[in-house]
Amino acid sequence: MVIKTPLLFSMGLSSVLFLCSCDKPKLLMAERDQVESDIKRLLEEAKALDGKFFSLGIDASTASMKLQMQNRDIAHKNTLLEQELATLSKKCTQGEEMVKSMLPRLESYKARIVR
Amino acid sequence: MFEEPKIWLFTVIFAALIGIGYGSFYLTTVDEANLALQESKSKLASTHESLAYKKKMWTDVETHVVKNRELAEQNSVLLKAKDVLDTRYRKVVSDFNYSVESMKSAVDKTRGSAPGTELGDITLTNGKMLRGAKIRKLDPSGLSLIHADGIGLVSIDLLPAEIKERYDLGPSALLPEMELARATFLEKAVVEVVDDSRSSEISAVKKRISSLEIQMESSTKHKEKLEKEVKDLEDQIKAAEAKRAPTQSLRTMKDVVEGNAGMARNEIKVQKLELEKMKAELEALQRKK
Repeated sequence: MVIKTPLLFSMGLSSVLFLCSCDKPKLLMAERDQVESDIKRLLEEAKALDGKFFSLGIDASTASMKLQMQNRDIAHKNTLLEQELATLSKKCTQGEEMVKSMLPRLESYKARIVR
Repeated sequence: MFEEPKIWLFTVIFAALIGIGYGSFYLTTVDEANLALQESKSKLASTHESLAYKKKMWTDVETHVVKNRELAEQNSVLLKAKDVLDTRYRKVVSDFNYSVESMKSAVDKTRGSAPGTELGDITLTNGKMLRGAKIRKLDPSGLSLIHADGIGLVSIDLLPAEIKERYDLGPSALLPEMELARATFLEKAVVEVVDDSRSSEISAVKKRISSLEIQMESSTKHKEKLEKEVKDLEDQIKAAEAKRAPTQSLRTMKDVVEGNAGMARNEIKVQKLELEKMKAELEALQRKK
């Protein structure tokens, strides 16, 4: 009995340690591989986005800002153009009315005086 | 030789040593795997963050591109409308020119044939009657007439309405009125357009400047926040190094934040340049005005 207990104890301890050591690092490594593959996927996505920015010929860091400013410029130009058109349209209407009132007088003068 | 219990004692001690050694190896392996996993997770988080930022930027760019297209379309419609209005404007100018030139030619013809024209007996607006009147000469100040009582210059205001109308003389003359209308139309058309656009341009530039200044203020705050984060992370790295703890994840985070801070600095630079440009534009417009 004295002899058998330590023997069994040491064998049991060794087997438990041996069995434990097989599993956990492998699981951790598998999880790490999964994370690494996720990183790879995300990096590919990022690369694809960089490609899109590159295809537009703009720098990713300032693209939004530049486009925003460009839009503001165009909107500003459009506003000015709209105002100019409104003024010009009003002017044309006035001019047309003036011509319309002048023409009959001219025709009448020519008909009566110049023969 | 060894007695049996001693052999077992030796075996147990040996097994325990192997067990401890293996256990220590096992724990180290697990620690290393854990550390590697943590680093990978941290890298994943930073990559995720960086990708989310890029995606947001791309969404912004797409929105701006759509808006840009809409504005460009609006601009093209407005330009077409301007073409139509320009044509309409040119037609009005041409109608004015035709009317004035046609009237001028008719009046010149009538006035040119005036000398020698027999007017017969005419009664002036002051009641005086001129018998057998004949036009000698037509002056801007009046008519030089030959009549039964001699020769005389009759001022325009004394001439009968019929003669004034025929030679287009006096305050109700049509030709000067038409010329004035044409000059007024051409002058006003130019002046009004320029004046309207300039003052509205100045106010538009002022609005853009103030909105850009607000944007710059917020960008500066964002940049300062990021720079502070970088500084905090540097302190954390130093503390971790002192404790000999792993610093990889902190360094990755610091790189990401530093990158974002760099972008924020670039954005501010672009905004500053734009602001300077706008201020110069405003100054030029105000000087012109």
